[in-house]
Amino acid sequence: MWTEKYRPLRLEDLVNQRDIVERLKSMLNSPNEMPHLLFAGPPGTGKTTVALCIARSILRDYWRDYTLELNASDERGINTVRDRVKTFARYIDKRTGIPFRIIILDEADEMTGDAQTALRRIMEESSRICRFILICNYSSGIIEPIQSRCAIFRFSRLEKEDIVNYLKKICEHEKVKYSDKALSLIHELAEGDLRLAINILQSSSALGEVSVENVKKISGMSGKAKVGEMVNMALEGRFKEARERLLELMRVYGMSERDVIKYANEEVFKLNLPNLDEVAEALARYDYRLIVGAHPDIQLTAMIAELGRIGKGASTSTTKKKESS
Amino acid sequence: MWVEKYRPKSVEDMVGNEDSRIGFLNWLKEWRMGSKPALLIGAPGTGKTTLVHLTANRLGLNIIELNASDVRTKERMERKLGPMLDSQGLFNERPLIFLDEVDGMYDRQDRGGVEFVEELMERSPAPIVMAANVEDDKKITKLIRKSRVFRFRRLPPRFMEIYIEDIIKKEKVRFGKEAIRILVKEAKGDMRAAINSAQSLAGLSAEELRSVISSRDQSYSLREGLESFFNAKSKEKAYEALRSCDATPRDKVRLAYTSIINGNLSNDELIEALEGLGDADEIIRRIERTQEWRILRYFDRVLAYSLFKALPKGRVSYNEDDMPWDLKLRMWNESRALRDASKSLSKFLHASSREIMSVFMSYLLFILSKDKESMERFVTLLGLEGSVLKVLMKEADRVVSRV
Repeated sequence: MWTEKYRPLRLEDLVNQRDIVERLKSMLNSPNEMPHLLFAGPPGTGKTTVALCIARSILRDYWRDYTLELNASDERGINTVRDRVKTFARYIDKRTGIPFRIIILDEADEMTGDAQTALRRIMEESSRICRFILICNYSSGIIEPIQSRCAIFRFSRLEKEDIVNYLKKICEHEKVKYSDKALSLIHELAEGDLRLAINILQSSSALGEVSVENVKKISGMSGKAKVGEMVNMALEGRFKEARERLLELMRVYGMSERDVIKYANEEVFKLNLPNLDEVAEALARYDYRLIVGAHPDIQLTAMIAELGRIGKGASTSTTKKKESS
Repeated sequence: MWVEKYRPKSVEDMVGNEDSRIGFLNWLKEWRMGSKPALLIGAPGTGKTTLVHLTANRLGLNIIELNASDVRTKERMERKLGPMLDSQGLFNERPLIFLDEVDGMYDRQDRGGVEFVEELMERSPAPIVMAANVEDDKKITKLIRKSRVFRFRRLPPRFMEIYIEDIIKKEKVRFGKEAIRILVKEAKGDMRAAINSAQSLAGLSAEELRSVISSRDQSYSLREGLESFFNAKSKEKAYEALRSCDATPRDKVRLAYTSIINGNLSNDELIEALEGLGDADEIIRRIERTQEWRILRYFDRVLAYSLFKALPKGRVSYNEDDMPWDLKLRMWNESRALRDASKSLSKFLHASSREIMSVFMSYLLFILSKDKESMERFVTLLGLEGSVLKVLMKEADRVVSRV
């Protein structure tokens, strides 16, 4: 994958995020004093990359052995996290001259409050030997006590110019034909997410060249686009198809019910609907129900059904409008 | 309790299933280390537990019993049985291990319990006897293969009538023959149930007994309840059917949902029914969250009325599947393959398997779909099974077709 091939290895090579790089660099001058770190920001803005750069820079040749990467969503519970940290945080071979081990915990904001409280204990217990780099999308999802123990870095969405230039560099290196228009379309689709942008780039280059036409073809592949497709089916009253798509997204692709609604919400605003207010209200209502802990299958199926009714109302009202005009 | 008072005092006093009783006695007499354990299978109230106790008494064995009321995790069972397993020969008493209701061992609560039993079977210095109600359970079929099985049929009505008549005589209560006949028939070969109802209903006339039993019948199973709910002629009848279902509100909603989804309905009907279901589902969750159980009294009405209004009679019938089987199977296969693939990819791409599913998988499959060879290389690199390759190829085709 090009995302790995072109992942920057040194902080200097990072795309934008200049403040963060500066602050980190000065911190790395005396690595022994480095606190725990908390990286917050949207996907594809370099959080994991920076964490890996720091690991490489501090742990040098030993970085693979002395870094532990954990994903909150993949570890089955705080107890497995504790076990893995415990075995990992045992000792440091003095001959390496390394100050500490590094634990990168991704998606930390997905952890429940209780789990985070336990995590805080784990951080304290192992702080003699380990430094944590916590990664999350929203720092508000992290409990106060952990925030106060970390130096917080906020990553911002990448600018169009940065993304386009980076994509250009890749194209030239891979000797792929591209058009500027195609690259800015990729930027639009990726919404500041460099990782997604590179994935779209590589996929469209697999079609021969990076042209607007090919990028458009690829754009339908994202999970978001698939949810958009589902919403469309629902609005057109193709209930059975929409539900099958929904089940596929959730059961096969493991999309969470919250993500389905989140993406649906983003997609409906692009659709230019006459009764957007009703749609938005319906989405909000079902989102709320999911928060209360309602049955995801039942609620989302009901949501599809309701979208069907709203869609029907919309088509009759537009025909009415046409008739009256 | 008459059930305890009139439990048979010796194997000879028991009724029915004579072959199994004799067979079990012989098995226990001849048992020596390394013999297979015994597994007694049969409906409740056919004498399994009684037989084990009486036979053990006769042979002077000391029963160590674990039944469903004990938590049967591996650790608990080891703690209870461990001293006996280790101290063989120290004491003169010979033990018998009795695991009652083995079909009630659930994976979650009784973690490792079934595995522990299997392990115990290999090395036990004492005879093991297990009892179960059903045999079509997966865990039980496993045990059947490794055990000496004794089956217990439901008791014949004639035997039960004699037994109950005897109790009635001893208790000096008035209970007509006809009433006993009705009661025994109702118990369906379960002696314990028959004795229990005899104790609670003794003194009633046959006429009264009939009306008691028929009103008891109105507590439907979930299946029957939903069937009559979907076919109800008035909204009150629908409400009655739903209310008398012997099931939790959560199960009612879930099964109403799967039934409706599979029903023969127009889009508009579906939409309305699903809205009602969604509302009812929300009520339950709110109740659970706030612990305000008094709200529950509105639940059956909300569900019954909204669905009654939405659903035309006779077009929905009871169904437990949330989607057609072929679709379910396909999705299950695909999700397993994709999950395996993204788990292995996780360390290469520094992302969680969930992120890989959402941000990478489609693109990756698309890029790899260009030639079969690179797909094969990819699968071997990740150390995945060949069956995964097939699914990934198919999934890739689907991705390509959407482009």
